Parts: sequence; structure tokens; C-alpha cells
Amino acid sequence: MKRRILLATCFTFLLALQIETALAEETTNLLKGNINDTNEQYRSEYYAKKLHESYKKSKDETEALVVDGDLLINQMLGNDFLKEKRLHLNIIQRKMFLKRKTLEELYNSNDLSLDAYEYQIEKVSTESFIEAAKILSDIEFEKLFGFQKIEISKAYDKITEPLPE
Amino acid sequence: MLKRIKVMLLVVFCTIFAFFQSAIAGKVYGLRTNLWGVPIYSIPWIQHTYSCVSNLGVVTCYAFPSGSTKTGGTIAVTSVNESVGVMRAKCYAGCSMSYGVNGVCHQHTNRVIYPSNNHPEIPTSVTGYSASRWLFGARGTNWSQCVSKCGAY
Repeated sequence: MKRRILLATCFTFLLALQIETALAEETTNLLKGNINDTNEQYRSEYYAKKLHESYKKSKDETEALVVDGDLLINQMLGNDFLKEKRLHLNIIQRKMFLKRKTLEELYNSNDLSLDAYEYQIEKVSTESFIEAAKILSDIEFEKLFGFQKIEISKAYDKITEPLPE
Repeated sequence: MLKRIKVMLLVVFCTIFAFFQSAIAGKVYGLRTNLWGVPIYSIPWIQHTYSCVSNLGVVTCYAFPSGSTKTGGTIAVTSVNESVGVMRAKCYAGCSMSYGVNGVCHQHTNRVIYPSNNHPEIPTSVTGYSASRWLFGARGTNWSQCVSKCGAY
């Protein structure tokens, strides 16, 4: 008799745990959000989900990174951001990633020293901001990158300095 | 006597089973992200982020490339459902990443918190994150190598 009671208690306890898990999953599914959600947290969860899906689908890392950048544009400048400017930004970013890939190959084949490699990476990165600054307005630039166009000049001075010996 | 032993064994079995059930239910795991300001070259300035993985009361924190893991405010607390999630988070934290080449602290933090519910990322309100994401993506330019090494989640 005692054993039966004990067994029943055990199973009830396990059943309660299972129900709790299922409920937690259901709540998680409800909180996935959507692109136009007024709640920032839910909207950002939507983008996190989209980002996850794009990396999962894409076999080419460069393209996945460009999609990532496109989602960033949506998040910072809105889904209705000018298509022309958006495409231009995609091109700038793709060009930057491809240049970096070439530099990585040169570095891996010992055709580039570590110092020169890091310097070139910085240069390519800064150049991408300079290119983006040409097509974005001051407000758009600050909204997208979180700093002002004027601050690029400091980074530009840095990349035009001679490479350290 | 034999009956008592049987009952005791049953109690032990049920307790162990219930413990693993609760672990799968994600009651005890949590990931935490904190931030504080540190300047870096190329992007005017960024807020530094780091991550902590809590597993059965043991908290392990990861700062990339280095720095304190005690200061700053919490910006995101999420949970992982399975022990394998904690294992993955720790493995992602150890993936190779060259600072300023493959990513910065933001990308590293995003890698660690990746196994938690809905694969979150640090909020865009973190200063410098949108700029670093433009340069390195959300989880670094060599994220696929990290997934190949540790396994997908």
C-alpha cells in the first residue's frame, strides 16, 4: 500500500514538472514578437530569430554577414528605409568582408605580417564607414552606427598614419 | 527488511529522476550579460560587455579579450533549457576570436548567450554595438567555425 502511494506521488510530481515545462515553452513561443511589434523587447526577439534563421540557411559566411547587416539596417533605420540606399550599404559591407577575406588569406599564407594584417583590417573597416557616410545623411549615419560622421575623421587620420615599423 | 530496501531504492530513483527532469525544464540555468565602458580603436568608443553562465549555482564569467567580470549593470538575463545549452555556451566562449579582426567583446558575449531561449543578442542600446555589428556581424566573422567546433544549438 505504502509503495503504491509513493509511486503515485512520484508520478504526480513528474507529471506536474512536465506540464510546467510545456507551459514554459508555450509562453516562450508567444513571446517571439514580430517585425512591427511596438514592444522593443519583442521586436528585438523577432530580429534575433530572423538572424538565427539566416545563419542557419546560409552556406556562405560572407552572405550571412551581409544579411545580418541588412537586419541591422531594419532595426536601426526601419523596414521602410530607402531601397537604393539599403542596396548601396549591402554592397559596401560585402566589399568590406571580401577584402578582409583576401587579407586573411594573405596573412595565413605568410604574405602579410601580423602588424600589417591588423593595420589593413582597420583600414578596410574605417573605409566602410567612410563609404557609408557618403550615402547616408548625418542623422541616418548616427542612427545606424551610434556615432557622428565627424568622428570618422579621427579614425581616418589614424589609417593615413604610416604603418608602425 | 527487503521491503524497506526496495522502498528506499524507489525513493532514491525517483529523486534522481526528478532532479534530471528539473534540469531539463531549465529551472537552474541562467545567462547574464553585463557592461561597462572601454574605448577601442576604429569605432570612437564602445561599452564593454561580458557574459556569465550560471549552472547549478556555479557562476562562470567570460570577458573578452580580458577585464573585470564583476562591475557593470546587467543588461540581459535569459535561461537555457538543457544542460547541453550550458556546455555549448562554455564551448562558444572558448572559440578562437582575434580582437578587432573577427569581433570584439560584443560578438563574444553574443556567442555565449546564443544557446539561451530565442538565441538573443545584446541590445542595440549598448554603445558601439551597431558599429561593431556592422564590422563583424552579431557573433563574429568566424562564427561558423565556432559552430563546427562546438556543434549547433
